[in-house]
Amino acid sequence: MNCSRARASLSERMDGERLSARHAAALDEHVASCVACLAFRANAERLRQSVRIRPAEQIPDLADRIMASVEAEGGGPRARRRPASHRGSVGRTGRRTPVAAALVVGLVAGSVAVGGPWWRPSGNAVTADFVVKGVRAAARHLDAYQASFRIVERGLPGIARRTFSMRVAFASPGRYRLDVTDETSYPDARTPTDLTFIANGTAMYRRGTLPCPTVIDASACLPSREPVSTSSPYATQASLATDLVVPVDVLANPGRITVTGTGTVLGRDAVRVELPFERAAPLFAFRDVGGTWRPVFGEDRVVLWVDAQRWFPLRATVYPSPGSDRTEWARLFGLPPEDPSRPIVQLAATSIRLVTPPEADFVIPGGVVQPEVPAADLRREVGFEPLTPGYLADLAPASAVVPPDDAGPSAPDALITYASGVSYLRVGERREAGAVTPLGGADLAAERVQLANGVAYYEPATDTRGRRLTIHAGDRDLVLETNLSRDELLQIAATLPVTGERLPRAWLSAKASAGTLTLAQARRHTSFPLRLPTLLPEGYAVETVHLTNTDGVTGVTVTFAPADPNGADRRIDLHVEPATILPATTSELVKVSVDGVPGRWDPHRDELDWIEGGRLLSLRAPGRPLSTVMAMALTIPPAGS
Amino acid sequence: MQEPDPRTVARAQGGDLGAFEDLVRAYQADVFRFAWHLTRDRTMAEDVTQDAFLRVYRFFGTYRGDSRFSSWLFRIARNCAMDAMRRQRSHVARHERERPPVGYWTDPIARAELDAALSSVSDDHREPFLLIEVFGLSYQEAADVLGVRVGTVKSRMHRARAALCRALADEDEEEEAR
Repeated sequence: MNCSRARASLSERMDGERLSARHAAALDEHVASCVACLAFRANAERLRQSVRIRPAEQIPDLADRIMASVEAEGGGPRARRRPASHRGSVGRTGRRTPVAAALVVGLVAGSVAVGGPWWRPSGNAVTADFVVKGVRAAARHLDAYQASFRIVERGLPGIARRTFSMRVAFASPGRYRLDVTDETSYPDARTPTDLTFIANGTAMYRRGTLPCPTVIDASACLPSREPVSTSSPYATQASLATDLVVPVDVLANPGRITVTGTGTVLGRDAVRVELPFERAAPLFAFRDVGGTWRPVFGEDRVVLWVDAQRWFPLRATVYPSPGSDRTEWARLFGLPPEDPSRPIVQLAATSIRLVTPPEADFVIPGGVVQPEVPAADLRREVGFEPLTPGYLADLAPASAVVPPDDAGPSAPDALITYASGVSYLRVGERREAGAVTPLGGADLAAERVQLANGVAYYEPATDTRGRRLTIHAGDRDLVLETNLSRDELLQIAATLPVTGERLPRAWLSAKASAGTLTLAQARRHTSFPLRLPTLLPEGYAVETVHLTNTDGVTGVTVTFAPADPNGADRRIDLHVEPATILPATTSELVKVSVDGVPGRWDPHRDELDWIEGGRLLSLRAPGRPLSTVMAMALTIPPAGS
Repeated sequence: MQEPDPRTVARAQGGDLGAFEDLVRAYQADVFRFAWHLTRDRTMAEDVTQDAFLRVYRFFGTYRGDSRFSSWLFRIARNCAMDAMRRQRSHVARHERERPPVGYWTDPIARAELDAALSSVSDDHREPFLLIEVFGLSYQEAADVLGVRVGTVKSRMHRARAALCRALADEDEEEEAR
């Protein structure tokens, strides 16, 4: 055998080719005595070793970009084969071939096992309504949960990519913990966004850097490392959305949710839904704990995968929305135009276990102890028998708290929490003849609803609390707060042994039902100068004047409306209340100056806030740019003038 | 290279986007590396990777499972790379300008040597070398990807290996001479 033939054979053998026994023996004999072929073999093996060392971390992650382009292929050949009857409910990217249909059948079976009778067979299609029902049912059945997530954020000015790990623990009732660890290598000495949030009943603890109110000017961010720690002010409010456990707030109703497919994620059958970020925000509630996060436009598209049996979220990806509105919004934050196919925030579960976390996870640092009262002692502690709804939507009593006497005028005398899984209902009750403020700081402009047992006042959920219903019944006031649906809340309230009355005359005079409260009357209720802008869009005039009451602080909201009766959605609101600092917020805001006074602009709400003369002024003009709102603001006379 | 679970492939073929994404996540790095070696242009390699998976999605119905999934995927990736380079005929200039992705080889000296060596062999020889030596395809699978006979692959592979070994040996000698 010559060297040329021997090296070709060595090469073939290295590549897995089988040589005949005779050929192999001849090859080995030649190589054993040939220095040059030995060297060739050594070099070839070294070459192999070199090229097969492939650290993967520097290779770009293109998966989301690829999937976005795949999803944009909604009109592909298989999509065209989708039965016409499915088009309405599945959306443009949801294909329903036999395999997928089989998956759906399995998914439905699994959901029934969890959810019971709420599911009614209606064919193969997974509808938004089906998802909503599944989530609501799962919310009552998930009692223990531990998960790890990975968060990738792109596009924060100055830092192309940030990565975080997050641990989430939940145990029913009412124990929730979230730890975010910032794993980003920052090019400067900025404080990492490391966060801890613990809720245990009504006690709450936060630790983390303070939110940065603007991302335009990094120097405006507070460089604080101080922990933020607090306990609940005995309000009925929820602490932080637990949508990472079950997305009960996000998927509580089918509005603006599109089911776009089924699949497998983390080896689990999963359903894929799409919704705007403003609907999906409770999934990203960790951003509200503190730290600095990139801004996200309310209409940005969120692709969410949820487990098809337990309904916990598995993956959520945020894509920039197209359109000039977003471009305009992005400019305010110094963001470049962003490609709608490239994700800006990715949240992905890396492990999920349905086991009870250790109790130590939920210990509130600093010795804050939840002042729970045994049910048997409640009557003695508060001096009356707190009312209990006859219907509790399968929730069970979880805790009772009696706030101290100095908890404030809007605190209840007793606060009872009912829970099951992540679903909760809190019933706060106060007995006080001649109370001057509504219980729980309820918004006096709440919607009045008629129940079988009288009237009540309903307020939808906000970013920081659940749906709320206020009932006034003589010397009793009740506030019910929950993450159950509105219908369930009203059903529960209707079984309370009280007769709901209209709010007291004193409150009604402050409520300012349309046109009844004049500016002069409002001024009599306030201790601060109430002056209006002299510049308003043509045809605008004062429509209503409302007094507001938030935790005992009285403010005034003046609404200006156009003469055109169809212009209701173009109303402008001016709110004024006593304050010396801008209230804390976790919204992404733009720092501005209003006639030399520091202020901030919320481009999500088209709202300008500033402090002047011991007043917080807040001017909101939906659909109008900062320049227009600023022009109006500058015409409001200062407090001392 | 590990083949995917046939059930995942079947689900993805059936329109399961989650399963398709699993395939994307499993193979995107290999496709990108292959694309980079063909194009020597990082941006183009990213586009080729995206385009390759998009074509897989479009034509998944034609994949019958009679060849390995990875072979089928690489064949598509190669076609995408060829198309991309045809569109941008300046790839030769890039060939000299760009270096491999950072971190491709852990040893920076070995990285530089291999880069130089790989640059010294023709496209016809580099392709089978990458498919077989780097990605672990068989001669038959590489032949399927490249659309040539097995014998052609075998001989090109050997010539590429011999040329690269020579180049690396020359580097060693130069190093010793210094």
